[in-house]
Amino acid sequence: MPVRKIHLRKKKISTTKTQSKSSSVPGHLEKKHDSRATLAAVKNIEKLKSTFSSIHKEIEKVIIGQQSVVEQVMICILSDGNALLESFPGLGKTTLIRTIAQVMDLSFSRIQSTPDLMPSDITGTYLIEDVDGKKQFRFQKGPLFANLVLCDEINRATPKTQSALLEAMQEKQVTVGNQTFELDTPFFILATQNPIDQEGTYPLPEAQTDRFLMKINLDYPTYEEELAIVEKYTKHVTKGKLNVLLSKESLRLLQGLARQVPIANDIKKRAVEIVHKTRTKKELIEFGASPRASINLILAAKAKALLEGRKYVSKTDIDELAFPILRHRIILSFKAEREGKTTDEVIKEILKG
Amino acid sequence: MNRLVKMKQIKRLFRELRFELFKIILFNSFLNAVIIFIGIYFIISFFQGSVFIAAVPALCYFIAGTLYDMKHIRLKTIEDHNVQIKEILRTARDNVNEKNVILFALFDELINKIKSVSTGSLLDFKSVIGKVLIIATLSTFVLITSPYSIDVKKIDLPFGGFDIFVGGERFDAGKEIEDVDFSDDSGLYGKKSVAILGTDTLDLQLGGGETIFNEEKANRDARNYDFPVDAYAASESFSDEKQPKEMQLAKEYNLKILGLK
Repeated sequence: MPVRKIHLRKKKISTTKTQSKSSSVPGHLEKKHDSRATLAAVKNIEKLKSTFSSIHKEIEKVIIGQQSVVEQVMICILSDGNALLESFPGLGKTTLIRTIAQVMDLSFSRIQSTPDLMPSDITGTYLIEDVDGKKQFRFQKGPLFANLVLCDEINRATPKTQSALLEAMQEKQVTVGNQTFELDTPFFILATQNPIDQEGTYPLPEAQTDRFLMKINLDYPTYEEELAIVEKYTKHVTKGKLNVLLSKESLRLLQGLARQVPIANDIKKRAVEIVHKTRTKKELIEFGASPRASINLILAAKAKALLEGRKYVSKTDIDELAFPILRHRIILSFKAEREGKTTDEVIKEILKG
Repeated sequence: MNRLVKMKQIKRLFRELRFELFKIILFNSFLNAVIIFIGIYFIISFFQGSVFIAAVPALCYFIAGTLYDMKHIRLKTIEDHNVQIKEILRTARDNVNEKNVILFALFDELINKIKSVSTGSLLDFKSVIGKVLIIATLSTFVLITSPYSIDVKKIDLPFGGFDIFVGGERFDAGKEIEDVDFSDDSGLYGKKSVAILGTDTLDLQLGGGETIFNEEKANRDARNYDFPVDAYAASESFSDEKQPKEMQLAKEYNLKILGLK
């Protein structure tokens, strides 16, 4: 059979400029609607990979190691989701999120959860102030009014305070009294939990942990990494200056762009199949994940593809992200717990078939 | 407008790809059908069977195989053979009607990368060469054995012939052998009576001179309008029914001669 290369007839492409009707298209990437515009978009998307790797390198000036954690946090931000970070104390969670905020020119705030923390402490409250001899109420914004919020040890806060936080996560707004205040976008909460020292805590119920896009496990650094950390943080007092590599506007546009990354039908079905299996594998899983997990898995996979400069979602994206997306959404059965299986091991079994 | 052009380009690309895939499926099914045809024909040639016995299954396989492959072989096959377009082709196909910046960028990438894809990359050359060799080998066997016109049915076998396998009456030892009157040849040639030819009645008997009917000679004689010597119309005096009278006359004559001596 003769070998035949597939050729397409070249047609003259019109260079007339047309107005964009799609509101979901990022403005700075869609300047002109012609082949040059598409070419520019292609170049920008491919340039994204180098942009994100530059962000990684900039973060590495402060954070040593934890590459996968940084990547997962970036995916959460691009997917417009929130992350639950489970780690031991002293692993650089605050430093990590603060560094990301600096590199992306985003405002940052930190909330240390304690049992006596009130909702108004995080959302804000009305203050009476004297203006021109008249007393009036002024709303003082709480720490939630930032782009990146670190909520340390969320399991120490009372359920009432947790619910205020969750409203901010879900609705991107806070309600104080009978007034609702919109939060500035992009908005990202990184809530942490300490796996030890669980006495006197209010563990997040499953219905609420389900609202977090990912549960990221932060492990201890390796010996070499710890040596580098010690070398860096015991020598100099002043910290290095970080460059701003991505603006707030660009990040907002990238969040819109991430949703546009196309996905093949069979890969989409695979994502849904994985989540569906968490509900049918009764011998290992007592309670499986909800359809929110399917949505989050696909969104996160799209963000990952964009982060890597790809214009399509790959099967490996789904398989790799299944772990952080599902580990906090499934409850193991007694049999699995008796066998000493972890959620990651069970997810691995589901992925195998 | 450019987006429309791009979408049309992509749709045309997929049509071309499907056509290429169809040609490859057809080619592979054809090779397999030829192997089946020659294989079956080689076997039935030993039984002097008809060529249609080989052609029918080969044709059925060709149609069924083509339909099966068309259903199961998909664009993923092209992707598996061309790593550079892996997952891109399927993604573009599934989102061909969507419109967004990233998708158009994906279409551009696909159009650029598809230029490096050739039909040859979809063919498993080892498999094709193997099949061609099989066809050549089987064809050689058929060519070698066909001049000998081997008929397995005619081979004398100790167990009573090949009829046991191809049909025919089984030899049953328990059945009594009927007594055969060898002088009565009506079982072989039919009743001694009468072959009706027009309004005349004829008694026919085969000449005893030759044991094997010579068809060529008979045809030659017929062409020359000579009545074949092996088959002739006998007069009444030669009829078997008249024979006892003739014998009686001959007997009486012989007795008279003996009396004279």
